[in-house]
Formats: sequence, structure tokens, C-alpha cells
Amino acid sequence: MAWFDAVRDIYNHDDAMHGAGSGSCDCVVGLQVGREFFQLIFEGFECSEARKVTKAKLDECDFYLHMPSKDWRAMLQNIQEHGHATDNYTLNTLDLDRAEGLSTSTHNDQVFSI
Amino acid sequence: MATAKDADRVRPALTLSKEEREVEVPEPRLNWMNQSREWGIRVKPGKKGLTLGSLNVGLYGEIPMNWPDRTRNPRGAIGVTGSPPVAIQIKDKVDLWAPCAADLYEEAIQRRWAPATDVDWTAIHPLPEDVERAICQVCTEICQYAIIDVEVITSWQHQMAYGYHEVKQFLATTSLDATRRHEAFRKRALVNGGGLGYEGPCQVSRLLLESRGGWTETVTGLTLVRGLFTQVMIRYLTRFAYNGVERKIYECVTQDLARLLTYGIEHIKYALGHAPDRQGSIFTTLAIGMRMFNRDLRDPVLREALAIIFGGGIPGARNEGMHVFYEMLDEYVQELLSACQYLRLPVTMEQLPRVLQKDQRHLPGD
Repeated sequence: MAWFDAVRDIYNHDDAMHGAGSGSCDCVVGLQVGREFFQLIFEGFECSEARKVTKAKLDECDFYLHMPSKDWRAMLQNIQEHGHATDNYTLNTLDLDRAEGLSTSTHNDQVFSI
Repeated sequence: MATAKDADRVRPALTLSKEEREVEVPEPRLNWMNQSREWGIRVKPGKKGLTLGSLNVGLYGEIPMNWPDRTRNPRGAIGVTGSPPVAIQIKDKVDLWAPCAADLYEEAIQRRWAPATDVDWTAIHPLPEDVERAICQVCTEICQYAIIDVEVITSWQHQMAYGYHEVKQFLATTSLDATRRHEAFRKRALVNGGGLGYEGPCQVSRLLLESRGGWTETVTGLTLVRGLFTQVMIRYLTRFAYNGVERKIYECVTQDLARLLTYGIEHIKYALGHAPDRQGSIFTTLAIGMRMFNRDLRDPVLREALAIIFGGGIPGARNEGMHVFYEMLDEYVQELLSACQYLRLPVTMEQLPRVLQKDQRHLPGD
């Protein structure tokens, strides 16, 4: 949670991430990291909250991303090494590499990966 | 500079009395000030500002199933008696509505980007000639798709009743998105001293341009045939991007296209939910669109250009590049079938053209 809050703080205070096609949205994003579940609340230009939740709370998410812990770790290590995701570690590539995709929802309404 | 002739003109006026010189202004009646369909409803800005959708409270939020007013009277305003109608043909909510239209409009406004300044064009350098030419060819194709999108959307937009301004405003942003898409890809084609390539075969484009049966049917082609394929293609281009500049363009365009796809699919779902008998025409439109897409795919230009990009050049195009191209087609088919399942359209793999069926695939020249 401390990590999520630190990233949230960077995102909320960096104007460079809020313009040029990025930033504003209004959604509840879920993350499944192994057997742990998290929610990120986005409101406008702010990630207003990050919290650890139970699996049942994924129902409240507009969509959630799920990968094994080792894959999340590999992505973060790639970002740490290069300053941004490269090659096989962008969310787009991670999604395309998976037959079931990276994003889904409990309501079966994430019918295509965008 | 004043002349003698000016003096001649002014002199008679100066000879008038003070009362004669004063212009007669009628007493203001102010009878318009107490006329409003609803007064006193206040909407307060939220964390995202004062959004379009948040204005839909009280009478101003009543969005009826039919809007018979064929003038440009804003929803909630008092119309002028005797105004002649304009060319409003789409007056039923079922023919254009998507519940997310206002939110999509707001997102489009807040997530806008400018290819001229938000893309670091100084950071791009020429690629090996075969790859550069292939990218330029793909850029040409995407430019043309964008031109068609603008023409199709704008040709329908003005026919929509103003009672559904959320949709009209959102579609205005999709026109801008498409224009920006054209701009960005044209710039990418020319930035390294290259040029544009061949125009595409245009079978799907012709279908979209000539679609006159209804906006819902046009949206079916625009999203499920053209839009979804473009989206998947750009996702694969993102994966195989050669530099950060291309990746930036592809990522921004992906977001823009996502809004159009969301509107299109949610509108079709709304239409089918309120007029289930439309399923037949939507299904037929999709079937025809797939046949047109099949004809487009027979042309080798786009396929070969993508294979070169995916394969890292001509040597890698035949095997690795074509393998990724087919993988991209398979991804498009999966997205299409998923969307059709969501919409409860009875589309199966076996109904699609053989080139889109993994086991039946055979392209001319393979």
C-alpha cells in the first residue's frame, strides 16, 4: 500500500501526466497481484485513493488487471531499469501476449481489450 | 479626413432641434425575463469540473424517446412559433443514443492532444529504407481511414435532433479525433523525408460512405468492421513500434479510437435493447461489411507493409512478419466475436470470410 500511495502522489502532482492525451478519467480500477487484490480510484485528474480489498470488491471495479506476482515484478523491474516500460513489458504487449488478455471484469462487459 | 462634402452632409443634421435629433427608443418590455421552462436548479462543479452530464437535472435532464422538434432549439429552451424545420431526420432516441455519450464527450475534451506539440518529432530518425517505406504505406492507409471517418460522421451528425446534444457533441469530438489521426499519421509519413504510398482498395470505405439506411447500421460498419480492425492494428503497431515517437502517436490514437468504439458498441446495444427487431438489419450490415473487408484483405499492399514492420524488414517479413500479421487478424476476430456476444448478435466464426478463419485461411499470393 505504501508503494501505491507513493506512485499516486507522484501521479497526482506531476502535470506532465495530466495532459497531451493522458490524465483525466473517472473509473475504479482493480488489480489482482497473485492472491492479493487492490482498488485504484481515479476521479478527473487525480488518483484519489488506493486500497487493499477482498476479491469480492472486484465487483465494484470498472475493470481489473490480473497477472501472477512474478509477472508484475518483472514489469516493475523493467520500468525501474529503463525509466519506462519497454518491449515486452508495456500493458499493451502484456495484454496481447495473453490469450485471456490482461484486463477483465466480473461483469463480462470488458468484451474487448482497449 | 473630413472634406467640404462631409460638412454639407452634417450641416442639415445640426440644424435639427434637440428633440428631433434624439432617436426614438421604445420602452423595454422585458417580457422575456420571466420565461423559462425551469428556473432555480443549480448544478455544482465536482472534482472533474462542471461536466456536460452533470447538467442533466430536472427538466434539462429529461431526454425523451422521441424529439419531434425539427429546429435548432436547444433542449429545454422555449421555441419560437413558426420556425421552419431544418433537415433533421433522426428524431428517435433509439436511432442514436448511448448512455455514455456525455461522459465520452467530457473525456474527449479533457484528454485532447496536439500532434504538432505533444509528439517530440525531433526524436525520430529515419529507419532502414524497407521499414520506413512500410511504415509510410501503413500511415497512408490509416490517413485514408481517418478521412472516411470524418466524412461519414459529419454527414450524419447534422441530421440528428438537437434534443440529443450529448451525442451530437460527442460525435463532433470524434470528427476532431479523426482529423487529428490524419494529421499525426501524415506527419509520421513525411517526417523522415519519405512520402505517402498507395491508396487502399476502399471497399469498406465505400460501404461506409454509401450507407444511407440508418445511423445505427452505419455505426455497425464504422465500429465493428473498420474501427475495431484499426484499433487492433494500432495496438500491434504499438507493440512493434521502432521509437518513442511512434509509440506516443499510437497510444494517443488508441485512446481516441476507444471512445468511438465505446460509443458505437453501446449505441448498438441500446438500439437492440429498445428495438430488438433491428437485429436483422444490423446483422446483415455486419455480414456485408465482412465481405467488403474480405475484398480489402485480398489486396497485398497493407498485408505486406505490416509484415515488414512486424518482421523488422523484408528478410523477416515472410515468416515472422506474416505470422504476426495473421496473429493480428486472429486478435481482431476474437474482439469482433466478443463484441457480438456482448451485443447478442448471432455471429459465429464459420459465418466470417475464410481469410478470418484461422483453419481456413488462404490469401492470394501466399
